Amino acid sequence: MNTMMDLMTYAVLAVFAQNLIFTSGVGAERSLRIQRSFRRISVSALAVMAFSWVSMTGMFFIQQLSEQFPVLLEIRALLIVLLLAVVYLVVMAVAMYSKKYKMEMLVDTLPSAVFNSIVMMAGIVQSMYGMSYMRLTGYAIGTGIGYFLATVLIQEAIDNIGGPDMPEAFAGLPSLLLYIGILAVAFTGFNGGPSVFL
Amino acid sequence: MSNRSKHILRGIRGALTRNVLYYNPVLTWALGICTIVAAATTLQNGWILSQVFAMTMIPVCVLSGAFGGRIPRYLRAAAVPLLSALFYTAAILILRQKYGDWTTLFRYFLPLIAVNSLILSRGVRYAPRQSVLVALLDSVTCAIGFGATACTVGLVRGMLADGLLMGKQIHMAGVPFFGFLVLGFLAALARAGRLYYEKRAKAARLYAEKRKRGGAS
Repeated sequence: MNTMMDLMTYAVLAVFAQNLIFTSGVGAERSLRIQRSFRRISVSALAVMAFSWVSMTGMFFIQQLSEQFPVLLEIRALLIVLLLAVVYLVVMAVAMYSKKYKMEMLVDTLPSAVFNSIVMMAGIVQSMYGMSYMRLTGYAIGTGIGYFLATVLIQEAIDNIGGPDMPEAFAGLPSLLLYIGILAVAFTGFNGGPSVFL
Repeated sequence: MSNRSKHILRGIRGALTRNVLYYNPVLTWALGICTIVAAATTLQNGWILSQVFAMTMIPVCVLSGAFGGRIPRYLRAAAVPLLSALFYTAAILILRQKYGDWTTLFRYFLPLIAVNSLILSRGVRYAPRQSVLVALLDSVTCAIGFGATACTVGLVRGMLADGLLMGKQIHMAGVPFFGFLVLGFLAALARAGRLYYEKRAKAARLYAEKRKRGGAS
C-alpha cells in the first residue's frame, strides 16, 4: 500500500510541481517541434515515459556502483546515453524483425523521443534525489504525463497565438517563448517558490 | 586577392551572418534552448556553457561530415548522441581543471549538452550531407551563435539579479521561466533583424533585375 502511495505521489509531483518542461526548461523545443496530432503526441509521451524510466533506472544502478567505482559518477552522462542507445537499437531491431511497423516513421519519431533533454534530466533528477525504485518509477510515469500535458498546452498556443495586432517581430517563436515563460510562472506557483532544482 | 580566396571569405561571412545573427538556430528554431534557459543565469555560466558546447559540437559535426554519410540513418541517430556524450565528458574533464568545481546547479544542467537538440540535428541530418570543411564551418558558426545567445542571456539575467539594470534586485531572474522571457525578447530582436535583412536583400534583387531589364532594352 505504501509503495503504491509512493509511486502515485511521485507521479503527481512529476506532472505538476516538478514538471520538467516548465520548472527547469528542458524539453520545450521538443514540444514545439512535434507534429500536432493526438496520436503522435501520445506515442511520443509514452516513449518519453519509457525511456525516462530507463534513464532513471540506469542512474539508480550507477549510484549503487559508484560507492565502489567513483569514476562512474564522472562519466555518468556517457553511461546513460550508452544505455539509451542500446535500448533504442534493441527496439529498432525488434521493429525491423517484426516488420509490423513502418521503418521510416520509426526512424523519424523514435530518436527524438529517446535522445532528448527530458529523458536525460529524469536521470539527473534521480542522481539529485537518490529515489527508491518505486519512487523513480512513479516519477517516470509522471514525467511522461507531464510531457503530454505540456505539449498539448504548447501546441494549443501555436494555432491561437498571433493575430493582426501582434507586432511582426514577435510573431511565431518569440511570442511562443513568452507564452511558455508565463505558463512556467504558474507552475512555479505549484512549487511555492523558485524551482526545486536551484 | 584571388577569386578562390574571395569566394571562401564570402562563404565564411555568409555562414557567420546566418548562424550568429539573422538565422541563429537558437533564436530562430528554438534549438538547444533548454540548457540556456536552465543554466545561463550569469555571464560566467553562459561563457562556460559556450565552451562546453563548442568542444562537443565541432568534433561531432566534423566526424559526422567525414563518416556519417556511410552509415544508415537509424544507426546515425544512436552514434551521434554517443559521440556527443563522449566529447562532452572530455570537455568537462578539461574545463574542470581550469575552473575547478562549479555550482550544483551547473553540475546538474551541463549533462544536457550531451543530448542538445542543436548538436543532434546538425550531426544526424545536416553534416553527413556536407563536406568536412562545410560541416566544420557550420558547426563553428553555430557554436558562436549558441555562445553569443548563452552569454547574452546570462549577462541580462545576472545584471537583473544583481540590480544593475533596473536599480532593484530581481531574485527570480535565475529561475527558468525568466530564461524563457529573456529568450523571447532576444528572439524578437533577431526576427526584427532578419525581416530587415530580407527586405533589403529583396530590394537589392529587384533593383538588379530592373537595371538588367533597362540595360537589355
